[in-house]
Amino acid sequence: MSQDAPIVLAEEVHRRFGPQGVEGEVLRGASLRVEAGELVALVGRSGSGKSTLLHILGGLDRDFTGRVSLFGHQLGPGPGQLSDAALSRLRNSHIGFVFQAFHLLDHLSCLENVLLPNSFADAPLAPAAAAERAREVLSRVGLGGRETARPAELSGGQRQRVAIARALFFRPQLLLCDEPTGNLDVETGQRIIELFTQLSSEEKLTLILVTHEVRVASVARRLLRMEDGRPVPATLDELSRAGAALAPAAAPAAKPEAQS
Amino acid sequence: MKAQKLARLIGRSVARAPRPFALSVFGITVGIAALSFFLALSLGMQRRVLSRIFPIGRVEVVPPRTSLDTGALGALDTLGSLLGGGPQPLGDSTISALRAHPDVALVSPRMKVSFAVRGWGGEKIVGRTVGLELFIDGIDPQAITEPTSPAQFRDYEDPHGPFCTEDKNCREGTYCSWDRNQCEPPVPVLISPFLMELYNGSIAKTHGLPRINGFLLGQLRGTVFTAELGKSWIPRTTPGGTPRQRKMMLVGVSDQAMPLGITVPLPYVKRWNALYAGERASREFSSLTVQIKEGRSPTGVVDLVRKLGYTVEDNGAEQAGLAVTLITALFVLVSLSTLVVAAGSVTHTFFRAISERRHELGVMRAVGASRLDIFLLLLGEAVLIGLIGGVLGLGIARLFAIGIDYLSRVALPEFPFKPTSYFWFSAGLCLLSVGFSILTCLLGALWPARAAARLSPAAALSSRA
Repeated sequence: MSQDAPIVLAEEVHRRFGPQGVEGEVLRGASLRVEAGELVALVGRSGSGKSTLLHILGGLDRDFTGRVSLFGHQLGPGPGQLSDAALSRLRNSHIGFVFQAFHLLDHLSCLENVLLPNSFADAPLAPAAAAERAREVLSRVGLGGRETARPAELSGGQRQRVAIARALFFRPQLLLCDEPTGNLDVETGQRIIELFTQLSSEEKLTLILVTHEVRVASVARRLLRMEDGRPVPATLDELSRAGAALAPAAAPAAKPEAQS
Repeated sequence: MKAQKLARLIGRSVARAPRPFALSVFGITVGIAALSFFLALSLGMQRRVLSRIFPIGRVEVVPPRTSLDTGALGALDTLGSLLGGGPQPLGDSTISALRAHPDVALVSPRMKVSFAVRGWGGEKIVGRTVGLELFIDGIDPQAITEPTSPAQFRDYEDPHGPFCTEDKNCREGTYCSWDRNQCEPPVPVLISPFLMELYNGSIAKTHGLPRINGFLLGQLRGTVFTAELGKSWIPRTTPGGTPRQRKMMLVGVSDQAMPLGITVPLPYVKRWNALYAGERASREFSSLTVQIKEGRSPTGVVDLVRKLGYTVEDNGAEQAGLAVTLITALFVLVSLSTLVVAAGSVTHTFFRAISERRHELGVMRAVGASRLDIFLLLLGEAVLIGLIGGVLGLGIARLFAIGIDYLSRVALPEFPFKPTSYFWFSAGLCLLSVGFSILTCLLGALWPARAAARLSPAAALSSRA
């Protein structure tokens, strides 16, 4: 990867769901360039394709047309694209994901959830070192002492913190967050956002934040809005004016974060 | 992914959802229990029963039948023999020809006593003297491979033995032969296990006599009885020479011994036949026992025997073996169909498990699991199911076998060749059963595992968005 190469580069990306010829093209020529250390917020209505774009950028969805490169590696389609094994290694060591639904494994403890990436690493940390690192990141997100707790025993905010700790385990260069506060109440969501800004500056992370909340997007240094299947630059004022239109259908929020 | 980590992930997956796992294990266990039970029964029947009745790896060569009852071919053989073009009687040249075959380990000639012999004795066994018509054959002492007093089974006759007029003139272990007036040891005799089984299963039972077991056999070894050569209990039998009495001593049991009669060292029979039945009878063997080298097929030797113009004696072993094999094949087919159903159940369980675990698999993919990791993870679970199912199935089959052996011991009457166990769980069978169990599970899980590995991480994660 060259020094000047962007972390993420997407050009003319198209993604269609459902059969050809039927309405269902979510991305229509989406292009995006994200440089190292940027904190980018991608805002859009529900169904506008922002999560789809994030999945494609993270290599979770490869069923698209156009060009996407990640850390200088071609995700595809076409010749020279990363193999599944190589892309998996890249996800494991260079990218962290934080999802709206937390995506923790309920049968594992907090510590085991955080340790999960180590199970699939090419050069995994030794058990003692891995446990030490997992405790360190849990402590970093404010969950020191909750290592043995199961996800079901935690509040929504705490679960999201475990998910963030898991994403940080291998010190990724890129953090992809899909509606990270979507299932949280306002106060808990605010704390999570503060954590992201803190991580962005302290850990020199490149962060792409997908959200429908203008309040959350406001922490980003660069704002994009999904329009007609493409991300376009936006300002905070524009987003504020369109705030009501961006809001998704009411969804039940997780229980408020426990005061600990 | 490292094997240790894979094993840990498999363990966690199983612990997370033990019920479908247990259901799959149950199906495989039933199939493997049935398969290993019937295979062990077949092996046991062949090893513990059939091989005792029909020794394996051995071919009995006899001269071709000359009667017309063998049909046109027999008639042609007879005609050929009469014209001098047929096979030679079994003699030294036949032995040499057979010994030259690469699959032959040993050729030992047998010669039947060609005249009447009667015997009496048995006070030690039945409490009174019993007289019997004796059927005797002679074999080369070197053909005896079992440790049944082989040193004692040899030719003791010495034409220059010490002179005597009565037994007390002779040293211990020898007697005075009244026709030659010289001291000589008794003729060593072997009996076959078949004869023992026949005695134990029929004669001992019907006449209330003690059964011959290992201990009693030890006691019987050394039992001396009298044989009278050239004399019969049947009055009309014409003796071929002056009757002579010989002491005989039981020295052991060998499956090389004549099934319904007694076996003595070959030189005795040669001398006796020359004396009572003529020189020709002392040169022609009644049969040749050909021992095949271990692990070799007797087919080549059988072909050579036929080429030389002789016949391989059909003792029914082939038919009995075939019957056991066919019955086993039938049961194995039933067991295999159970395993096919079990494999189908594994496939169904895995597809259901994958559907329930879509989210988990998506998370694993997101944090760095490759398609191969997911594929191996699921196949690893299948291996675990197969391993547990195989071991449990084998254990259940073993328990059933122990139960049946116990029932046979306590509920079935004694009969010839009644085994202590009908089953043989060889190491090979155990490995095969567990291996087959694992293979079945792997095959059952292959399709679902492939489908799971091809699952798009984004789609899998969306299942719980």
